[in-house]
Amino acid sequence: MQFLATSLVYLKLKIEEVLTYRVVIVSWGFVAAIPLMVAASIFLYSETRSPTLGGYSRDQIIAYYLLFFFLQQIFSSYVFFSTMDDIINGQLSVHLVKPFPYFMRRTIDEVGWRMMDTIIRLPLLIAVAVVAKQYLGSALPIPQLGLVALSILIGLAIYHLIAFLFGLLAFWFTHIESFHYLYFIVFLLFSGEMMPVHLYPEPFATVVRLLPFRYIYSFPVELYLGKLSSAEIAYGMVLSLTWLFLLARAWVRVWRKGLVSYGAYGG
Amino acid sequence: MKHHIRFYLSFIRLSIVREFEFRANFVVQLASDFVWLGVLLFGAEVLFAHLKTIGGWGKSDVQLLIFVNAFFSNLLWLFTLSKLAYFSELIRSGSFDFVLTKPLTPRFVVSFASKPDTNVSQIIRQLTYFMLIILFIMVANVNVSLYQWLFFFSFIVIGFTLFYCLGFLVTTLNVWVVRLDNVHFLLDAVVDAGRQPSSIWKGVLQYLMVWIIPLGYTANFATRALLSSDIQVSNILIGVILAAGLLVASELFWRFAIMHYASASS
Repeated sequence: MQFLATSLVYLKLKIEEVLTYRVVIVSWGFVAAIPLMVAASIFLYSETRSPTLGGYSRDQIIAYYLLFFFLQQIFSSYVFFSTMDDIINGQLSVHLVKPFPYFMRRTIDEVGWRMMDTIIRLPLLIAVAVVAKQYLGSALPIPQLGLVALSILIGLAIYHLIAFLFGLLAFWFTHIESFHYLYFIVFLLFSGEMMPVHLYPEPFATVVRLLPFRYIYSFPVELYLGKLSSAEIAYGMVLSLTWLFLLARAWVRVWRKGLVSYGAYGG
Repeated sequence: MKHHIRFYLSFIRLSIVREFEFRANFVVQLASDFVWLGVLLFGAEVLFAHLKTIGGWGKSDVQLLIFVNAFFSNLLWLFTLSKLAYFSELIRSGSFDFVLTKPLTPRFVVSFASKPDTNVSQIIRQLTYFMLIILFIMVANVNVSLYQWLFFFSFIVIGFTLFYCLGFLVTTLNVWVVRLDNVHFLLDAVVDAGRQPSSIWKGVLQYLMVWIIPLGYTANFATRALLSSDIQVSNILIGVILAAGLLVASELFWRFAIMHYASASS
């Protein structure tokens, strides 16, 4: 009960903090919309070599990018930055002495951010949804929608853990902004953000399907668009849950190792 | 002027010293950018496996465009983007007062010397990207005259001026808006969009993306200058007029903002 009450207080504090950054949140939405417009323009107006692109029609490719954008705006985690700052600035010490797990503190902060992000960017998201409607076809049956929702939640948890793990690198490196850049490149290449995984050549596409990044956004989008067979869906769900388990274990081990070497200064 | 140059050289020296305090970060930063270039080239390769052309541009043209865009983007980052974004921090912390009291033009400091993060890896990348452009031209057997090189650098300078002024205009809003510190990412996203041929934009988006947000001046016109001797001189003239107009507009807006600046420090 106490845990829940504390969580709600932290959530409320984060929401109040986020409200001061309304303008920058809206501008981030436009930053994210630009690659979407670029991808859509390329696939709409370029001459193709075959009628379909990796099994996608033009409309489906546009739907892919629109859904990807939508998911990215609502379900993401930037816990890398807050974790990195806490460790480097010594603020982690303040959190360590509190009777509230650091992991939960940062997770609640992210939930608060994303909630307010979504609300503030709602006009932009509604505009995208209106545009996306013509490309998405008819609504999915409930069981399939449920599967999509589950895959989104698993994907979000994977994203959060990976971002957190990158942030924990600050235990060993005092200056890790460039690591985030590397993480961004890896994410772009393997998550399906650059293009649908089906367009990648083999055996690269097989490697991408084995890694966790694809299960963050690309897998739920492919599920929604009906681009996966039942076997591929089962395989994807099992693999994403496996990655979730492995990343959670990795987080615990890295956190414990990091605390041993942690020496606070500043704060 | 001499004073500003001396200050800027000291600023560069400080940045470089600071950079080598974090050697792992330096190595990862340098490696990341070349990995990024590799990813972009890979992306183009995959796209052309499925598309015949992109906006009417062939594969080798798009590859050259990627190199020129990388050259242009790094130029912006090397000199100004992250410094502009740091203005938000200067305002919030009250440190902008110290910038105003320095015997230097505040705009110069905010634009080019506010944050000591100009580093060796950026300089190495800038030189490497230029060498890659020359190497590509040699391998692809493209004949580029001195005239075309002149136009190439003219488009780069015009593009730099345009995007610097746009960034500066947006950054000036920090005097009123709390924490608008992502101007460098906003501009970077726009410059990244210039990595594709501007002919992909149709309809209203064409006017918006090619002229209002002058994407053509990121790398498109510069690349076309290298690929073809048939250069549209009108684009240079329009660019010069736009750049001059934006320089004046950004300066006027800056002076207006400074009149309304209220310090955050005690």
